[in-house]
Amino acid sequence: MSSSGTSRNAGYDFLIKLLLIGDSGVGKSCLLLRFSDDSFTPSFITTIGIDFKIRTIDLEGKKIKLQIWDTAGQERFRTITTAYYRGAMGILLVYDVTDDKSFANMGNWIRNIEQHASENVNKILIGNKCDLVDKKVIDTARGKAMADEYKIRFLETSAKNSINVEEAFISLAREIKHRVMDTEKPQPSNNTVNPDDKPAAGGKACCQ
Amino acid sequence: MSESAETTITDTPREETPNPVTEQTQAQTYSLDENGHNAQLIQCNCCPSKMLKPGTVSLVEKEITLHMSRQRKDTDSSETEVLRHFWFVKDMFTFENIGFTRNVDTSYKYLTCADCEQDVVGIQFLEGPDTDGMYLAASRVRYVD
Repeated sequence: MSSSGTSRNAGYDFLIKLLLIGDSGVGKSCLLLRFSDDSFTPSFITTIGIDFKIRTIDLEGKKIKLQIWDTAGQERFRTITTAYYRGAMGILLVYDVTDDKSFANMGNWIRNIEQHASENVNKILIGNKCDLVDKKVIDTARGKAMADEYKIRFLETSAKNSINVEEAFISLAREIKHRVMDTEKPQPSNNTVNPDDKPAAGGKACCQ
Repeated sequence: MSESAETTITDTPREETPNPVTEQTQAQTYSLDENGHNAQLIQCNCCPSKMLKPGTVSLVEKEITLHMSRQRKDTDSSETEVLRHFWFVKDMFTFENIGFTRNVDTSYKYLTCADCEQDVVGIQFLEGPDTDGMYLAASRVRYVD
C-alpha cells in the first residue's frame, strides 16, 4: 500500500531553492529559457505565467536539483514578502544593463532581501541584456563595483544569446553547495531542504 | 452504462463528449520497462529539453481535459482536448527539467517545458482526489532511446 520513498530513489544528491529578483522587464523569465526563439509565437503558457521551474545540473560530481522561482510579476506591486523568500538558499539579483532605474533599484531589493530572506542566503548580481551593446548605460565596472560593495559575485548575461546564463545558476549553486553541503557534516543523499510543497502523500496506488 | 474499454488505445470520439477529442490515436504504444516504467527518455516535443529519465514514471489511464497546445488567435474561447494517457509523477523532483505555471483558478497548475514553454504538457491538481502527483500527457512529449 504505502509507496516507496521519493527523493531517495529519485536519484539526486541535493536540492536547492533559488529566487529571481529584480524590477519587471529586466528579463528574469527569459533567463530561464534555453531554447526560446523569437519566431515562436507567445504561447498559452505565457499568458498564465510561470511560478517555478525544476532544473537538474551536475555539479562537482553531484546531481543537484534546482527549484527556481520567478516572481511572476509580483515585483510590480512590491509585494514580495516573507512567504516568497521562505526556504530560499540563493537569490539572483537581476537588473537590465540598458535600464538605469533597474540598476538603481538594486539597493532596494537588497534591503528587501535583508528584511525577509534568511540571513545567510547566497546572492549573485546579474546585469542582463549585455548583448544590447549600443543601448548599454550601466557599464561593467559599475556593476562590478556594486557587487564588491555587497561582497557578492557579479556576471553580465544575455538570455537572448545564452551568454553566462548557465554560468550564473551554476556559480550560485556551487556557492550554496559549499556553504551547506561541504561545510556541515556530510549527510550523504539526505536533503537539508524540504520543498514547501505538500509532502508526497502515500495512499492510493497509481497504476491499476 | 457500459464501461468504456480500458485496454484499447484507439478510441475515437465518443457520442457526448463536451469537447472535441483529438488525442492522436495512431495506435500509440508507449514502451515500458520490466517495472512498468517508461523505457525511454522523455523529451519536449518542441525542443531538446529532457523531462524524465527512463525508468522513473508509470503510465496511467485517466481522462483529463487539457488546453490545446496552441490556442487559435481568432477565438476567445479556449480550445481543449480530452487526453487519456498520462505519465504519473509522484515527486516533482523526479523531473529533470519542467516548468510549473501559476495557479489556474486556485485549483491546478499546468506543466510546461522548462526550456521553451511552448506546450501545456501536463497538470498538477491542487484540490480534489488527484493531488498526490503530477500528470504528464503521454501524447504531448517525445520519446528518445
